[in-house]
Amino acid sequence: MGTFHNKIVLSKYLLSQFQVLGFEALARDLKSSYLEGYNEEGNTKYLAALINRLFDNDHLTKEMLQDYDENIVRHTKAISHKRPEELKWKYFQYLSLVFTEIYLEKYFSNPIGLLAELNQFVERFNDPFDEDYKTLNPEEFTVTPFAKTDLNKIALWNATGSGKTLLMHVHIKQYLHYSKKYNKQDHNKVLLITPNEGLSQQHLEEFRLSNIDAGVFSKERTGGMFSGAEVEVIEITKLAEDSGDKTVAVDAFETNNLVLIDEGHRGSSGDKWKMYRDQLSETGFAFEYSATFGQSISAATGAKQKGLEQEYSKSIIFDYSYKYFYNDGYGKEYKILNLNDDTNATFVRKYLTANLLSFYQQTLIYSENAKLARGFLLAKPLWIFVGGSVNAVRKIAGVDTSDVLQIITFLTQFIKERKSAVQDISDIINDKAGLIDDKGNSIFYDSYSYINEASLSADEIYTDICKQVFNSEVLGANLYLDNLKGADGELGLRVGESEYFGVINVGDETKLHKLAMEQQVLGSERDFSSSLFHNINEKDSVVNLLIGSKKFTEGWSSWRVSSMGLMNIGKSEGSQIIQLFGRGVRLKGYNFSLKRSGGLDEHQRPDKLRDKRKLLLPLETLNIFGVRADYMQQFKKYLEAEGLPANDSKWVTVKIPTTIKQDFLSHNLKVLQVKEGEKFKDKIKLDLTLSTTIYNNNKIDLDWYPKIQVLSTTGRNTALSAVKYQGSLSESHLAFIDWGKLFFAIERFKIEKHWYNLSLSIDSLKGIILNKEWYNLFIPEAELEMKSFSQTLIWEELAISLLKKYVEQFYNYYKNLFNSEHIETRVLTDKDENLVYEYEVKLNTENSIETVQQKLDILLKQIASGTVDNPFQIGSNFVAFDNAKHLYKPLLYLSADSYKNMVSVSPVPLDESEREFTDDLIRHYNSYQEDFTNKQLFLLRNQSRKGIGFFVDTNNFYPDFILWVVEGEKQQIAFIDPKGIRNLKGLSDPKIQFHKLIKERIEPQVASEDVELSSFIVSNTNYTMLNWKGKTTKEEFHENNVYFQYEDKETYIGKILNKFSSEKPLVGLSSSPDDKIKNNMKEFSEHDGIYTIADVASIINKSKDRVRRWFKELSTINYEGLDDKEQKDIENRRISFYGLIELVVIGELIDNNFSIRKIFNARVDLASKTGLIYPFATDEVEKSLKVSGSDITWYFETGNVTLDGRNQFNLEIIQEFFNDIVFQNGLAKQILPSRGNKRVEITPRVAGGKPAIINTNGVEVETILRSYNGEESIQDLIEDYGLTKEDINAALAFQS
Amino acid sequence: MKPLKIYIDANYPKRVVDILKSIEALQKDKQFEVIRWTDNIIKDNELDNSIFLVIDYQKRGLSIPVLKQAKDGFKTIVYRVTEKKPERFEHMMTILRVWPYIFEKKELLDNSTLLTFKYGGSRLSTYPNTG
Repeated sequence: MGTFHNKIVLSKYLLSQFQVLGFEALARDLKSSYLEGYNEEGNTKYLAALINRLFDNDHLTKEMLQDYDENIVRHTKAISHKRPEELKWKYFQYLSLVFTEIYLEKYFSNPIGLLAELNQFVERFNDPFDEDYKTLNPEEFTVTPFAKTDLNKIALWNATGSGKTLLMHVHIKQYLHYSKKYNKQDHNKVLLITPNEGLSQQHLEEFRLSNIDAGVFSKERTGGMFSGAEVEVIEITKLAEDSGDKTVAVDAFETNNLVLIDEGHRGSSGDKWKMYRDQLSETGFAFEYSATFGQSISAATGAKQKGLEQEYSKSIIFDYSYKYFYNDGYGKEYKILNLNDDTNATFVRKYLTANLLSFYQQTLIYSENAKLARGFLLAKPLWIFVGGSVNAVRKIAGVDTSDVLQIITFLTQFIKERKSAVQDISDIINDKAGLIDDKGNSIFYDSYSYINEASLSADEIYTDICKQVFNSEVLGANLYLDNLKGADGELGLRVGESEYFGVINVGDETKLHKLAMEQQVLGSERDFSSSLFHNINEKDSVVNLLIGSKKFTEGWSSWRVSSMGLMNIGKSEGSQIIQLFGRGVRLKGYNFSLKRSGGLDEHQRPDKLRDKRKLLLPLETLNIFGVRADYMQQFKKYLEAEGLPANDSKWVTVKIPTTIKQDFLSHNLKVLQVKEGEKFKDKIKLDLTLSTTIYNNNKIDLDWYPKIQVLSTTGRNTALSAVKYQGSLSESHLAFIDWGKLFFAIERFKIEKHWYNLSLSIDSLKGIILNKEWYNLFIPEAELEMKSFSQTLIWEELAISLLKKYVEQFYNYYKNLFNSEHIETRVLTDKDENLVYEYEVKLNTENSIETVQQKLDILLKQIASGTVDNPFQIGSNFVAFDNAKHLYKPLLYLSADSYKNMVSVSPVPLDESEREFTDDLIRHYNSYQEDFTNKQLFLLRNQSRKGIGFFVDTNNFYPDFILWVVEGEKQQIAFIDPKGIRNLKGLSDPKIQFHKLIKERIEPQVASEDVELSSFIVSNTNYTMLNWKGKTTKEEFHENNVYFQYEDKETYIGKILNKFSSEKPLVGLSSSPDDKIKNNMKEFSEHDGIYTIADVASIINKSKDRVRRWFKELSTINYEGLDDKEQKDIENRRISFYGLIELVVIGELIDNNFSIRKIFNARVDLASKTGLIYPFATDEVEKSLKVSGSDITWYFETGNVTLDGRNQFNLEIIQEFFNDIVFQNGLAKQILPSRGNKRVEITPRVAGGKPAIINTNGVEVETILRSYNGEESIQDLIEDYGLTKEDINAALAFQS
Repeated sequence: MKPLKIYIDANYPKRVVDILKSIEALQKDKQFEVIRWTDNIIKDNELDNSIFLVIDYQKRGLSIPVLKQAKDGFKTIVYRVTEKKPERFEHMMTILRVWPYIFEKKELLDNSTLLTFKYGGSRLSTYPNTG
């Protein structure tokens, strides 16, 4: 039945939206556990990884994915609200939610278009000559075209334990969101259909945790059968054609419900239940969930099977069946133990004893390694037996018999016949029991290593089994089977008077008990007893054995199952067994990763895991064994057909250790980081304003074509491929916008992103969207014409999408600016996260990988011996090599195309261009060694995410390499990124322009530590291949630190190194002020709010009233230079040093009738021109400022910023003030007022920012004024404070 | 035991600081060290063993930089001079009178990073409970 995976056309259609054919191709980049959770912006970390795949995608855009992600995050938060922790999705869960988003949006926005698009896809899928799809559909399965009625059901094939319940909750919210968005809220009820009451109750509890109002449908309910809750839960067994005592007629519900079907395999094989289900959602919508769709279809036959194949081929939107789950490392390992000859009673006894021994070994490891087991969230082992017949007692040839009784007989024998049991144990652990499988291999070979290492005798093992498994320390006691009358359907097993060690849970316990008593089993009836079965999952449960009929296979759930016996299970029980198997392999896993220890990735793995694996493996393995179970063989075949190994993974892992070279440690190599404690959100308050200049070189593109693609897909190659129309939103469009709705959408977006320091208003949003200069909107012209009212909804959506992008770019621009101004260095140690200590090479055993495997073995041996061939050729395009200057060895190069689906390496290996760069560097070094006299060269592969990243544009940029040239104390650090540049946005691309940012903004902050910084792009695209080459000369590329790797192979490294050492370092700003004191006052920074209204008035020599008025104006727009936003009283607000400087400019402008809004719009533009967040506190702004009539214009090469005024304006006041300011790197650092004879300084770094005499370590003007008592006190002042007469005169002049 | 470092503000009269330095020099086992007019780097782990004496001329309460500095963990003793024209002798005597209490009460600074004394007074008070 494995082939059904190839037939699922809907899922493949969704995959095609990402331009991939198979699930693995999409999943590959998303599997790292590092991506679980959310980034600082409140998006999932998967979003960026998905966006990275989007290049040239006609179906999906970044904006669409962003929207989907935001929806998913919002829904997730909603269902996490009552939970102790916010839910974090595994990658497959996230993808299934994204697929649902895509589908529902298409379904609700334009079902006809969706239908056309699906059928277009079906045509390709059915075409045996289609290059792509013939491989996808190897069996040439023909899918019939989708009909409109096929669209309203989607099914999710999710492995048991993969968390479908929570997905279901989000699905409800997704459905409701899109039905509301597209005004199609005409569904009657939300119904969840479950197979039984037990599951209904579990669902209710989960709904409660997810904060979703749900109630159980009840025929007996007074006041109506429906609970009136948001979601009604009903068992499938309660639906009928006509109403009965316990059933309700399907007609009682209408047909337009949102129906959720749990365990969708139930009733799918064509009985009435399926008909009822279908009826309920006939004009509504259905989500169906099952782990065993394939199995159910396989169980059907003939036309019915064909019908189901067609139906589910078109409705399964996401296939994450067990094979994917297992191959991703989730769930337990499993071992299928199948006895070849189970007709021989002796063999069966020994076989059961062997299983008991396996279980005992698990129990022993668990009890002796409790701490380890707890750490990996492993539950106490539990041995279960499942019988084939629904009733425990059945007749064979007129005689009552029971599967369960056979087990009881075995246990009785084991406990009573010590001698033979000990002999069996001895035979088994010494591999002499003759238990072989159908291939003649010993079933339990190497299964008891823990017991063997404990060196226990068979006798000691027997005694300990009695104690550990049967709770009995009394040898020779009898086995008793008690009917627990206080617990419905339960029989208890005990040895002598010990505590119950087992429970039998069957439908007809009285009949079974009677039969057992008739067959000489001892036992009694206990009137008062609590349920052993229900307490089985409790921590203190002493029950080690659970025997039951199939009835608990559905709904029953336990983390404890470690050994599972199947008795008399035939083919018809297949689905239930897959279900039970799914439950048995469920695992909480280390840190609730759901993974077995062998499946943990490098972000999840604890230290020294390798040593613990030996103990963990038996505990993380589910042993499955059959007793007269015909199904076992088919079960194995089923797993194999699914692409699963009967015993082991198809992927084998080889770990290659690296060697960290230690020589770099003595050079204290420096790397960059954002200063700890410098938080943009805390320090900067940001107002959203219109600023077109931020977007000048980086306009926002919004392509609406993919979104409306389905609308025009009536045939192939429609007008969509024609030139896209570029339009914009005008006032006439915006007149229809619901501004309140738009504001809340953007406000919600802001909150979801955690941008608490950003304020926005309806006015600012209006102003922004009315301006057209910052975006390119590609949309069919007809979409902007007024055709119907529904068109206005699209305009509203356009406005929201555009504004979200504007806000994001605006915020990231300032955040980036701030971070780039708060950089410090740290010394690279040999424990740094950016170093690689081990590679994980995975090989797919389904391919011919023997040669690679052998080569890897040789490589490992060479590494162990300390002598490794360099380079070491693992395969034709797979090489391990040592680069002499690189900080660790080996580096791995792998051509991904050559080894697709065959080899995968983590962390990401070098590609061809990167490898060549490392070779080119060494070749250059060896050829020009004289250039490196007294210099040391070091190279490090900079890992994505773990390495050093820079925020450029709106994305993180992790250059591939860090290169150090160390000369004595001086370190030159270059960030080098070999890459294709064909798709960059020209020289203005932020990744190219990064070389300026690092030089101008970042380097000054670390220059005091003798560190120089540069960045380079090494283009593996030839200059002649570039479309934009006509506009840009090669020299211009070089000026912008872009060099061509192949055309200039012999020279480019030399050019980089020359450029690197010739670029002039910039003067450093003083380093961290936090740990410095001057004259016993801490050095404050220019961002610290330390000046009161009175302080400012005194410093700038203006009246307090005037300054107070300016303070008030600034507070109305949440000016970031003002501290204590919560303070209502303006007298208690403090302004920073930069704020003080800006206040003078802003205040003067206010007093000349410029509105504060206009001033701040200009300020935002100035900030983007200067790249500084306090532009009025820079000399550039002062220098470029000109007055022309009533307008003020700042002139820049890249364009002007103008403030339109109403009055004539006198600039002298500002110019005068600026004459007193000392600038460093363009930023105000100190005021030396003329009225203080330039001997008085005001800087936050001295005397707490108060006016003080220069070069006196902070003797304040105030100290002099208070001690000055005329001429006669001058000498005292000179003696007491080390002043000069000029200093005293300066203080007096400042005061006057 | 490392000697307690007492950093004294440049706004304290040099003469009185010279007296305090002379007292410091008399110590057999160095309990404290007087440091004046400095441009020092203070490491986080030194903050516990250091005291900073500053002057504040603010009429009511303490000035913002002083409060911020204390909030950042600098154990600060503030000499509050609210008199327009403090008398030179009394100015210095105030410091000398308070000096012994600095050692007596320095443990108070473990809980509150701010102590104050007033011109003309002789007692150290915790802030904000100063009169």
